[in-house]
Amino acid sequence: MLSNKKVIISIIITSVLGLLIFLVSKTVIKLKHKERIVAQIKTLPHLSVKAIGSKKVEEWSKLGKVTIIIFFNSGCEHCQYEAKSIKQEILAFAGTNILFISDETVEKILAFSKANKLHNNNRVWWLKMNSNDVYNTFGAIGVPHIWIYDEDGKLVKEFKGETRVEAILEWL
Amino acid sequence: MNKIQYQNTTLFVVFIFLKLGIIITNNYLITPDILYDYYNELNLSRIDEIIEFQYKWEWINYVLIPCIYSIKFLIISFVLYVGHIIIESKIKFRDIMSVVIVSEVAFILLDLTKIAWFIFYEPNYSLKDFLFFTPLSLLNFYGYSNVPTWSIYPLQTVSAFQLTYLFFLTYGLHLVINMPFKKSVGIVAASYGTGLVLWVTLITFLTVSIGA
Repeated sequence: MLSNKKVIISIIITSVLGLLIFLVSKTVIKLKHKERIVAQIKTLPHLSVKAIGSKKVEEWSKLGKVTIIIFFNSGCEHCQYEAKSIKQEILAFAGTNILFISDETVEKILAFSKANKLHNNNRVWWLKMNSNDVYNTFGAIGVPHIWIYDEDGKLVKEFKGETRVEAILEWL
Repeated sequence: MNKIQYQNTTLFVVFIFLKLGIIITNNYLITPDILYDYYNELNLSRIDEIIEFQYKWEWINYVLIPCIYSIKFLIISFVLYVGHIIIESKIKFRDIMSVVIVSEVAFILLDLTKIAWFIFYEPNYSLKDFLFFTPLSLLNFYGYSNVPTWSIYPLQTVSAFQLTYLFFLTYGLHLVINMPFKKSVGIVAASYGTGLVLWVTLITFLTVSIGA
């Protein structure tokens, strides 16, 4: 019969090994997912979204214009600043589609768009995306996160975090 | 309060003062110019707001330091204690705690080397240079800009100072319980070593999970 000491050692070794295998395998899976996402977002990805307001999703999904995707959360102070500064310089975004995407509720997105007076702007789309679709399209990301695609749908610049509007305009 | 407990409290207080001194020096080395350069994708007024916010809440760091190190010392002492209990060596938790606190000097040496490096050798540096620089580590060998973000912490961990810390722990425990040095190496490797591997794996997993 095994002594208590041997039982304890076996339990510790098994638990440590189990935890290590779990963490390493999860890390590898997430890294592979990230690798796939990096390749995927090099061109304007297909977006499973619901348009909020009067505009239809199809209106922007055609190429031919520069597309700026801004992933945001209405409660994030940096996102509020981003939306506010884009509103102030909105005329400089002529010929550009600006897609504000969030995984929050339609009500919250709508309230955010109205608070920033961008809900009726012809250059701006407000889109809701499910959390799973966000993860499968963009990976694990923080807010705000900005991608700029050229007329051919090629990724030209990615900004992680709040970015001054002049820095965005440099890439249009 | 007996002698060892008194000694541990004194060691802890001295260590915390040293650490606070190092953090204050680090904050002094991260000048506003370095922060303006780091946040160059923001408007000046926004950078001012962020810097002001950081200065305003800086005291939280100082308050948290004793808490963070209390937890660190307790966990490492506990892991080493379990390692010793399993091999049935007679050692008191508070003795292990003394060794753990004293061994932390290895990382104080790392901090001092880093400060000396940026003051005397590399006075032009960015915030990232300062934050990621770990002297005599694998990260220093490869360069942080040449490796993926998730690998930075593991590469920082493998350093000459980590080895020095391991040596201090092993030698300290060998002195405290008169255990053969080789056996002490085995216990530290099996307990602290395993804990360190788990910790680094966990941090790497969390870094990947938040998208870095």
